[in-house]
Amino acid sequence: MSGLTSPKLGLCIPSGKNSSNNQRVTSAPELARTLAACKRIIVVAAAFTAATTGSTEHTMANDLNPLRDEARVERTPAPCTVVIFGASGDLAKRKLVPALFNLARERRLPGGFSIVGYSRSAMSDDDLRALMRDAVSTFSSSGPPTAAEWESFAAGMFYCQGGYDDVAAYEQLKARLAAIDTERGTSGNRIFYLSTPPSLIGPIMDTLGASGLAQSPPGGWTRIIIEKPLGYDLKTAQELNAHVSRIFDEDQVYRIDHYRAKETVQNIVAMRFANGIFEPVWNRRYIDHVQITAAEAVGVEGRGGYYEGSGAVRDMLQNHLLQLLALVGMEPPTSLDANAIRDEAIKVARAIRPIAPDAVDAHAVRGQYTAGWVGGKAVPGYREEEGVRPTSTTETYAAIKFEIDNWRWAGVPFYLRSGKRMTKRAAEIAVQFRQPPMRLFTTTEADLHEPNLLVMKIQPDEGLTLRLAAKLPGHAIHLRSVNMDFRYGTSFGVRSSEAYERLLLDCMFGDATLFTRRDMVETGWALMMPILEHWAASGEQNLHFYEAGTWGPEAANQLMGDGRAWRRL
Amino acid sequence: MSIVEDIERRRQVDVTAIERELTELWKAAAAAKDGDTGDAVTRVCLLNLLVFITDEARFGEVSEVVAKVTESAPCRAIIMYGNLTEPRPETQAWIASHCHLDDRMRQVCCEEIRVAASGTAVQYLARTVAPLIAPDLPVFLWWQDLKTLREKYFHDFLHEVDRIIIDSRGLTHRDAIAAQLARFVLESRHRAAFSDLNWTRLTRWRDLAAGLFDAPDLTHYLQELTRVTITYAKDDEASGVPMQALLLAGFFAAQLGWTLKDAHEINPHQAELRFRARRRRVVLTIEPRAGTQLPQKQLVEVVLEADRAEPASFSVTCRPSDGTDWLYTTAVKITEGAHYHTTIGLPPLTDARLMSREVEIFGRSKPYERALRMALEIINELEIDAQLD
Repeated sequence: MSGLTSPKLGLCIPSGKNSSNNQRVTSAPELARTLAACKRIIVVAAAFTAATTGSTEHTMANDLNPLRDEARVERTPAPCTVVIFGASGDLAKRKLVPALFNLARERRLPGGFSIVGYSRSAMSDDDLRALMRDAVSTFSSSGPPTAAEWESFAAGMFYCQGGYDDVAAYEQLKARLAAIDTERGTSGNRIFYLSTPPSLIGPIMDTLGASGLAQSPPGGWTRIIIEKPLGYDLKTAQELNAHVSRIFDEDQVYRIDHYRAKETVQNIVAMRFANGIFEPVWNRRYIDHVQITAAEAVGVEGRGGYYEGSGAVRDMLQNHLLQLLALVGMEPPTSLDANAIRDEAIKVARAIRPIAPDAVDAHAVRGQYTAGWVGGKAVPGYREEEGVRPTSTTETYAAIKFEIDNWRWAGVPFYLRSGKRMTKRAAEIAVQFRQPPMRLFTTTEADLHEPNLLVMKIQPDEGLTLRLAAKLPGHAIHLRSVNMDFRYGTSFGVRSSEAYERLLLDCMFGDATLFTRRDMVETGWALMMPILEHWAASGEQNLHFYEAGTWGPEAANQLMGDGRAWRRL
Repeated sequence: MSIVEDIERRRQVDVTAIERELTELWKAAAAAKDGDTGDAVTRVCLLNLLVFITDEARFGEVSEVVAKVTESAPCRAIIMYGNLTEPRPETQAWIASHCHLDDRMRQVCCEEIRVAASGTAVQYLARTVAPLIAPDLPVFLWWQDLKTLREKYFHDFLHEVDRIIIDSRGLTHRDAIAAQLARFVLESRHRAAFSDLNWTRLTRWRDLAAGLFDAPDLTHYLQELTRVTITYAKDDEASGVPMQALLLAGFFAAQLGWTLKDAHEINPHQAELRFRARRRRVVLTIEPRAGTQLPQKQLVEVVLEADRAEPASFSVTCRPSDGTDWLYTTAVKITEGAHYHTTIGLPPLTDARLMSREVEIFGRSKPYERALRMALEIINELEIDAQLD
């Protein structure tokens, strides 16, 4: 007969801004029920043991469900409803609903999981289901759904029509959500996904607040996911964050950075902190410099109007590349908890030396592509793209040299670059090590001997490469660089989760590790503002043109200096 | 991805020169590909997979499984055949490669070594094979002959491997070997961990059943269950309750802290088990169902019911679909509350799929050992019940 041999003790932090009282819970069913009423639970101890044979001794693993007691049985989040604002839009069709369907197919979603689409378009539940069936058939990375799979998935899909600032329509949404809670057991758990243009974020949040939907309902939780761009500059980012915080607690807010959800990006943390060999050399003593590159072969793809208000720094460097820099440069976190990792990331971001306005030209280069050849085809220059001003000075390429003022990285430059219409699509982090302190081998010009290099490839081939020197076979000593390669696709022949799958699931679990915190957004903007302001004031003065299909402007090479050079990817 | 092909015909080699022959094989493969397309083959190895068979006719079947496994888990495969009827001591070896195209259309290749031993050479299989194991990589041994687990030549492998994979699929509670196997696994004191493909077949069922109780306001029902029914596809020929159903019953009982009070056969295919849980009794029935179009002994349905303050029913059902997948439906019915179901299609559990999953896991599985221990208790109780009758 089984019995409790140790008391179960739970610390419940109730939801809501003003809640501070903790509760002690003393039995499993009580603890399970209390979970529903808590925003966060810290289970201090929860152990069941069998008194008879000793054979059934086990812990109540995985949030008190003992049937989850093994790694190979995947955990699913609590039942919830995802409300997609902008449900008739491209992102919902191409990414969000296919990602949710893939999760359902992989048994990662809970029973009763529901989707509510919201937009201004007139549509019925069935219209939305038909629209999404086509979308999933076209865009799901795991293939089209079978009739039975779709019937089951679509049974939890509903639609609400209304304006984005229409309080009455939100009241109807609220009633619909309450009905879903009862019928499908979603317990008041909601994610609001703002898949809308930035201009609608404010009105949607205000109306969510006014209708009471922003508050976590009794026994449930409410979270909001916001897509980039998160502001246009530091001022607007601060305004947006202030706006958000008037309506939501920071721990309700999930700012998407889909770059963070890529397998290799997550692997940076695993590689650095699960392998003892890297940490001793991961510092200024052994590392010469770091290059972070995100190159695209495509141009603005018909989104010239949007890109005119953005540019390479706002689109890529301020968010994605800075996140990568933080993961490479941060100190070991004390745990894998979301805030522990994000605390370390923000520390290193804050240690980045701000670039003074009069030093921008020495630390940053901007470029814009002209007509050229990419992939065997002639392509137009940026200024000839649809929606782009003929006199545009928007940068389609940016390279920045940052220095980090801390003990680990003092004197080690971090070079970030991103551009459109470059030679090929490639994203990677390259950590170049210093040469050995003494040149023992006399190399000739025939020797292709370069310093050790660790490359973390993000796309298109996710993996790791370590460059070493080796002796060429023969009597004479000639060195040659050779690569040790690890490829995700080859070594693990399994499909990696799509970024949106991972992010949506993490949000359902309340795990914000891969999402951007408010302070990181604002720190990123603060670092970029002197550069953006200097360029805005310079007109065409320091805008370097580069031919489409090349690796960017020549001026970017001069940025490196000290015998360093950008990697040819 | 996953176009499997042999880049070179299987060829017989000298047992003592296998490594050298493999090197030649890869050189030849690389040269051939360089000449044809300019793309070199990539030789990848993440683990060693050893397979032991006692039926020569199974070489081809196992080779196909290995080829599929290499798509997700590139490995050095060593397939060993022990010919126990041929008295003449002899060892022969062959090598071949399995290649597939990865998602970037590159040739990813793994090697397969076949070793056939007869007579006293079978006794030294472990010594023959040990030098062929790729160093510093995990070693999995898939031992396909449950009757030889007590043999010395099996025990010799226990020092060489990290994980031993067996399959109790064909067994029922009436097979004497079922209890012997359970005791053997539970009493093993070797470094190597045991794993049962029949347990891996249950992963989906455990996963889906667990998912029914993940919602915080449903988890408490696990402490209120009073009736469980496990239904399996009926086997017309064999009698006895299949091991797979017994393992699932053992899993529920062990994980939920139930104590077995008694067990009896209702008929040769059906059993009723009575457990004591905290302040209540749980009746668990294992019963057959005919005409399911699912493989014999495969689970068809699991229903977990609570009939106390707030009656509720939770179920997982499997049925074939028009396509190639099996459809799994999970359903929750709370008398005074939620009522919903979810259906997903999942591919049938082939040996290749199971093995691919199996080689991802290292170390011992505590839930498996707990479930097996409880299954053994059930088997013993059913045996006593049968003797009393």
